[in-house]
Amino acid sequence: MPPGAVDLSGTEALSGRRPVSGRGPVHKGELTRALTGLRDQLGAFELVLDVPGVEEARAAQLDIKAQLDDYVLPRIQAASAPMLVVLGGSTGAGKSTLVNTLVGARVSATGVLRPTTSSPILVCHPDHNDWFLEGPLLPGMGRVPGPAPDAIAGDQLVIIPSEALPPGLALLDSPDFDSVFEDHFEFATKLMAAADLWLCVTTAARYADAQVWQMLQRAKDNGATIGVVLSRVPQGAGSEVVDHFAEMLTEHGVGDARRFTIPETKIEDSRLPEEAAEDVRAWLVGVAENAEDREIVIGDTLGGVLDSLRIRVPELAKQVEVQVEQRAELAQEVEAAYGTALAELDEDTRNGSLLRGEVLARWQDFAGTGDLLRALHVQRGRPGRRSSRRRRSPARVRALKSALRSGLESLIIASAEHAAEQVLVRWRAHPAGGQVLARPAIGLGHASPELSRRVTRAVSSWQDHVQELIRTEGVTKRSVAKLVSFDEEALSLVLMIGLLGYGTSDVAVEGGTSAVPQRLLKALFGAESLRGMGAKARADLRSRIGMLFDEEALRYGQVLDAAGIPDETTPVQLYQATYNLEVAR
Amino acid sequence: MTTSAIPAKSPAGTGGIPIPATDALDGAAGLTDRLDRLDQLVELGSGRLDAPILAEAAVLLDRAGQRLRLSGEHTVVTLAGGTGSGKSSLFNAICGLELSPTGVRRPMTSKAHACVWGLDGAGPLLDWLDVDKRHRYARASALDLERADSSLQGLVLLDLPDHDSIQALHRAEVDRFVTIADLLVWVVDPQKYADAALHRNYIVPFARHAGVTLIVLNQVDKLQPAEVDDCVADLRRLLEAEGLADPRIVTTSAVSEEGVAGFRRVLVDTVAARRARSERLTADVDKLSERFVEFRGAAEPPAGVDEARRTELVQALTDAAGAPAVAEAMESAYELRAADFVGWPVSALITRLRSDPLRRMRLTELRDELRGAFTGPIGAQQGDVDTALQGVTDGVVADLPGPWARSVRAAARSQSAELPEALGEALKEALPTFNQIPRWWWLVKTWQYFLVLVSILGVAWIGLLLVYGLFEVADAPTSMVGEAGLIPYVAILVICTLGMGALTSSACRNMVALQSAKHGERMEQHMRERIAVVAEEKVLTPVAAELDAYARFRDNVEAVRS
Repeated sequence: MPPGAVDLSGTEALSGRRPVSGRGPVHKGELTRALTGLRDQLGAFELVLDVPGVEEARAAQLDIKAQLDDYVLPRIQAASAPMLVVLGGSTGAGKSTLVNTLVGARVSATGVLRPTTSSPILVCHPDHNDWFLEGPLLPGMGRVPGPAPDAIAGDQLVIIPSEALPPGLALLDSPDFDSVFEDHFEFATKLMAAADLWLCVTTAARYADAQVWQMLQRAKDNGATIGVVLSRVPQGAGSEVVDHFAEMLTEHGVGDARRFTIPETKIEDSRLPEEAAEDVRAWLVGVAENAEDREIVIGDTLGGVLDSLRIRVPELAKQVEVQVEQRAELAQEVEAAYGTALAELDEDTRNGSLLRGEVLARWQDFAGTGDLLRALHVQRGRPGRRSSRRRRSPARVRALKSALRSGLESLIIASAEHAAEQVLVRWRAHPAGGQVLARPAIGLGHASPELSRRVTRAVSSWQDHVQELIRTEGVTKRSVAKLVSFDEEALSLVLMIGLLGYGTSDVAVEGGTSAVPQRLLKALFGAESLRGMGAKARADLRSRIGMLFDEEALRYGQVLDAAGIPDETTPVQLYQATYNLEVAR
Repeated sequence: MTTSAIPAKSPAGTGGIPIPATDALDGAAGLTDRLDRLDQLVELGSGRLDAPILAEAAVLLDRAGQRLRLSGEHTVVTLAGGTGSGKSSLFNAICGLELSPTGVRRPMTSKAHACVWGLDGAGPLLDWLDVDKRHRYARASALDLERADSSLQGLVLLDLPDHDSIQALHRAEVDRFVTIADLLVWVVDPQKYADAALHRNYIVPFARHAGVTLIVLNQVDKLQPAEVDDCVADLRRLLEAEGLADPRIVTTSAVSEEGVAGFRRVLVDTVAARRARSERLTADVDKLSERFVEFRGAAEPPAGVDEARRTELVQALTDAAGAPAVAEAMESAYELRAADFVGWPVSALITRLRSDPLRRMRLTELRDELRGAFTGPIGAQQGDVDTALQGVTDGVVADLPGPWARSVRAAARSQSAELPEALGEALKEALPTFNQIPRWWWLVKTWQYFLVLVSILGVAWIGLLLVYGLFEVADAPTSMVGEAGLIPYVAILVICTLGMGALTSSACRNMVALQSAKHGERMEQHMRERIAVVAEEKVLTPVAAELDAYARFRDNVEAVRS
């Protein structure tokens, strides 16, 4: 909004003045931009995870945003709008009665049923009626022109013009903040945040209620200018209660707030006797009519609110950081679970634990029956014959190959399953994890359905890779090459069996066949070449499994993303917005 | 009328008194039974359900046990409410004395005050309630009391601090007392009856305790008579909306004497009935038991794993142990061993004379080592075992609530680490049929060597015939070697012998193959049976035990809720 674009009807007399002295129009534009930026930042994230203090942070996020929209931005744009006095307080404290008395007419309902006032009622001078009806203040609330109809939805602001109030003063009778109706509390806080002056009304019976002091503290933190009314003070006991109340006010750091006392009296026509509220009325009217005083009050409150943002926004940003941290921790749990699984898998594919059951039986069958030796041929230099030989006994080779494949596959899948379960267990144990898990995310506790297909592909391509290694890198020792040729497929199996740790497990050693594959391969390729091939084959297997697991772990990242947890840019932007605001001031 | 402080230790002593088994007046019989069931619930649930609910149940059990052990003659009534609602005034009005300080300062009362009608057994009760001794009063002897007071015999009236003031300690004190009182009296006044602090923190959480809750609308003198009914109606509407079934509301005014009569009457009735204690605990159990419902699935749980999954499991474990492959390998080994016996030594010799790559690589000893590769089955693939166990409980846990589904799954896997070993052992037990050497192998071996001998003799004979008969190098010692014409006949004999050897070998091999196939089949069958036993022992039994625990848990939840 360009500076000076706002012109308020009916406030010409005061429109020359700015709420905070020394503010030029350029300043106002910058300030508006900075505040709008901050507001947009506040609306751009969501505090998803339930961590300690998040309730407060969520409320703070909404509060700050609402206060910017409801009060700060309108107030900066319409600096000369009337001073808005909001009467807040406990249910049954007599807020409506006080408003009625101040206005001199029954504008707000009173009664013995609690809570009485359910929709906020705003009373202002007729000149400002239109501005309050259409103006930018409290944009989220609907407006109803007064007098108050019988049934009003809670979020409607009833605007009643009254000649009894001077121009430049508006009274707002807000709902209570401590009754069973939670929306009343919401409105009460929302209206409190929009007040130029917040008048807290409490009673002699209630002044020690925790809620009253929480609200006072809140008003203080939010930078509001506060006035305090102690009503329904029983006759005769006045001074004891008033003194104690004053003590408590000082104790809680609101001792400098203006104090009023209203005795328990007869209420007629929903109004107190005029003299009971005279103090309050005189003060309010005095402030409102004196442009300078009024400006000071308005400016103080606005300044206080802007000051409070200096603390409130970074505090909120800290909570966002906590969320970011939690998210990082959850992601770390995933990484840890899969990392452990990968390490275990690495160990299992090395220590011979795969050489059990079918794989071992197939190997025994393959090696023991001599099919292994048949894979070696005496070199006769006749390629045709070689290929015919290769096809001679493929049954056992194929059986061993597929046993190896399925053994590896099931090991990888079981390990992935275990990792997935571990992630769930870890998340469940994590304070924030349970909440992420509560969202419908199917099959997180299991490996993904397409994993088995992927594993099959990975393992068989690893087998192909090993065979390729044998073909390309497996240069036989020259001395041997002259004599013997070999079948690559069969030898690749021998290499795999060797890699998987044949001979390292106790059982095989006991059987006296330690390292048969290694010795055979060493005799064929030489130690160095064999080592190179082994390392390459193992690295290839590990990287393939690693890739599979990465893909598996990705699902959890997606879940975290879907949960809408803010990422690390959010707090930075919040800090930046606060800084921008400081610069603009 | 006298008041006196109650001695710290009353003659009855504290604790150690067993819970009265049946007390018809108290109605505790059903309650004790439900508490027992709750105890079992906690036991069954521990390690399976979420810790908080179990801890809560344990706390309740503890509290109920203590309260039931203490005086059943007394009814503990708490006066609680917001600051300034007139709890202390009401307390004093009932006691008939200014025992608890009243005033206009807020908050006024900061410590609980107790007044007891009838001292017997009250000491331990007050100790348990942890009421400060300076704040204990007694309407001591029934004799010197007015008639009205004796009707309150057995009442322990507690004046609590407020719950809503700025003093957080007060609230903690109130929380402590309202969890242990027999009758909860909430004192409200026309100004504060709709306070969120009361409704949200106490009325709603204790909505199930409607039977032992009394709402006192105090200070009605501040209202016009006509307004009182409106106010009560509004309060009733509010309470009902919060789930308090048929709330009891009495109006009082501590200022006028007749004002507390209604409240007093309710107290007299409650004390006389002596039911509040068990009703309170019953309400506690009711409330807690509702929370257990979510852990009790609607569907009747299966007793165990169904037949199809059982078969599937055995099949999967069989595969994991590689039983068919083991059987095949064993068949190969058997046939190889048989070949040593029944094979035709001559063809074996020929094979050995062929060029051997191993010999060229100077690795001949490898051949023997490879022959020794048949070490028998060793374990099973852990991965396969894990996968097999994954699916086995799928059908069973479908209808189970989360924690139980997890515990059943865990039970299925409880021994997964031992399974590979156990499966290997099971397979080994099935092996011996393969290790025996049938007698006929020896016979065939003897026969083959006899044939070899005959062949050698035949060849030698031909040689001699050639030497003596054909080339007549010297005089034949006998005509048997001198007659060259015999050569073809002997040659035929040798060829026949060789042929017979080969024939015997191939025939025997066929027989061996048949036999080994038969052995293999039998062994596979045997393995399957052994594996089924292992599966039963290591997987299905723990699952069944867990399901049984769940079934008992369900029964107990039902029993506790009844």
